[in-house]
Amino acid sequence: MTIEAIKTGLSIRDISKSSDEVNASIDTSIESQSGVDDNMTIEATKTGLSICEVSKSFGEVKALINTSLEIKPGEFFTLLGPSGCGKTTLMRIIAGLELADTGTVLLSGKDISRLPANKRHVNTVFQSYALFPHLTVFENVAFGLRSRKVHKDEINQRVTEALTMVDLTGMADRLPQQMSGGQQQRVALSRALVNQPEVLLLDEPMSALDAKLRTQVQVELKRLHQRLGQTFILVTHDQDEALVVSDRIAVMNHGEIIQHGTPKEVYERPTCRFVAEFLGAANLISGIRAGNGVETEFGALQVVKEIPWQKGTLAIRPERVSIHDNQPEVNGVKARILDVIYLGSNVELLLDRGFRVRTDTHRLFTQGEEIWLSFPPERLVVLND
Amino acid sequence: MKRSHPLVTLIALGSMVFLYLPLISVAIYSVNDTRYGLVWHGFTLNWYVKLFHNEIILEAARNTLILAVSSTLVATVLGTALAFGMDRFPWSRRTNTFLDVVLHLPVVIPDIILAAALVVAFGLLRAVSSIFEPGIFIMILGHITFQIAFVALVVRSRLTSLGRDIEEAGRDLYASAFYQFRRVTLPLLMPGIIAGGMLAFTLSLDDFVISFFTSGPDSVTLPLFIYAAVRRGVTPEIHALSTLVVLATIILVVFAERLTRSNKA
Repeated sequence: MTIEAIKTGLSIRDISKSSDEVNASIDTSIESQSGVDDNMTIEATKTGLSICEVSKSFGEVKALINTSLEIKPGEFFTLLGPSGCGKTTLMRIIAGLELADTGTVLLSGKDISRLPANKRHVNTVFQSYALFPHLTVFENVAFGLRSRKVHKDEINQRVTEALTMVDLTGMADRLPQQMSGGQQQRVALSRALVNQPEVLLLDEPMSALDAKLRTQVQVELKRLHQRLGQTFILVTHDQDEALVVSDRIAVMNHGEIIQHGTPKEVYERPTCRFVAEFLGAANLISGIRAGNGVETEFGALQVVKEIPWQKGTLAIRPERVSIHDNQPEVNGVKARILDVIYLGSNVELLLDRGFRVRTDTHRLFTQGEEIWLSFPPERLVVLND
Repeated sequence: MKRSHPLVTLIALGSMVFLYLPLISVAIYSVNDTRYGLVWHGFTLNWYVKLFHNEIILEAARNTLILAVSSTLVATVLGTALAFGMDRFPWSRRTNTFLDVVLHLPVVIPDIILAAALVVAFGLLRAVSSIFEPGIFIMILGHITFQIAFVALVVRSRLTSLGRDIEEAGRDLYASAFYQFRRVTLPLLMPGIIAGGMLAFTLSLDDFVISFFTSGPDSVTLPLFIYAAVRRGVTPEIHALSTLVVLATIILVVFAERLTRSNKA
């Protein structure tokens, strides 16, 4: 799978197949997950959300470049990237708040690219929540139903249900400003969900909450998703959040989707430097291809994956490096400990040559000590750039 | 907080006296039981009673109200529409700057210049229709021209502070443009519209210059009447009348201020 392949807008089916082939011998759990994905994709082309070669510019700025994506029904999908990567633009194009310059958006097989926001069966939880300050919680939640002239009794029933779902019974008559941030967020969530949208969009919904509440809400959100079985699309710049809640993640940068896959795939098998570094810490090793291995500053390293370049980069997560007292058989490297950072459940070792290693706290490490590391070949990721 | 220097307090008090002493003295003389002179002769409401029996003054008051109410209504609608057009249409940056200048110009331009321009304009229009003869109709038009800018400025600042999110949420929740406006935008904008309208109303109520240049023989307003009367000598009735006009203005301004403030939270 190359960047070029994504750029030209290959469908997810092709990509997961090719990554299957590569991963097959490496990580059985990833393989089985991809296998499931494969079967579901066939359905997705009919019932999910398809984004086909969508581009959008704001004046000189290209916010989104020829982006394609297939999102399956019932999936918790996350658009992950730094600010200005185009994730919000993509979300707004799905919502209909922005129209794509070129390309199409298909929802359940229907082209909705040119439909205005109020004609799309898609609802959004806004980053600012955007609750109507002059309406009570009940009226806020009822708004979408009233717009569509749903019968009064049904409105009462559905709004009550929606408020119960997010634990806000008894708050129906309050005004938004009389509630805490967390409560406002739940109003925003039930205001969107009460409409039973085909796709629920969540625009950085956790950004205004404090760290402790955020973790709790992530779990609640995931549970809610499992119960409702609706398609959720989350937009976020927080990689931990993305890993916790998502079925699949698309990592974006500079208006393009760099890589997508399950949290495990993108975390364990990043395709390029950007993804490797954006999703948690990564040790990068540059080297030159030498047969089936790579010649690096640490000596020759064995890798499992095919090497697509002459000169390039390998990556390994700090917690994937193993530590030995004696020289290991494969990919062994001697390193000196510059600093030991105690993190409670584990320790992080800062080594010479800028290397970071994370391990459990059973063994004692001292500054200046020399240890043997080994980079398990199946954990060494060959990046494309 | 640091206590301010006594000199600062003194200057503040001095400015207040400077601002309000004339108004207060007018109010005092309006209840002084003497027709001439500056000496206090005891409290009376006689001048107010006389005021309400004076046909000419009542006629002027009626004209003033007709002028202020009708011009304010039209200016509020047009000014709100203008604010919408300026704030919500995706103008290019240069157009936006240009529109901004155009909007502020009527506010900073001297009344007398605007009045003279109106005289010329209506003079030309008179060639088309006799409806543009000096009188209440062209006075209303004249007032609308300067009120629009004030309404638009107030409404636009409210629109800006509202932001787009809430309107986008409305659209996202299936609201048609009309439903959205009636149920979301208008209620949230109302304090701004009312404040803008009240500002326009008080401006029309007090206006002398534009009225003076555009009025006809049958369309004397209170400011015009006071001006004419003062030239014949200041009478206690004028004091009483002035006091009432000032009171009405103060009430409106306070009300408008409160509305804009209470809804900002």
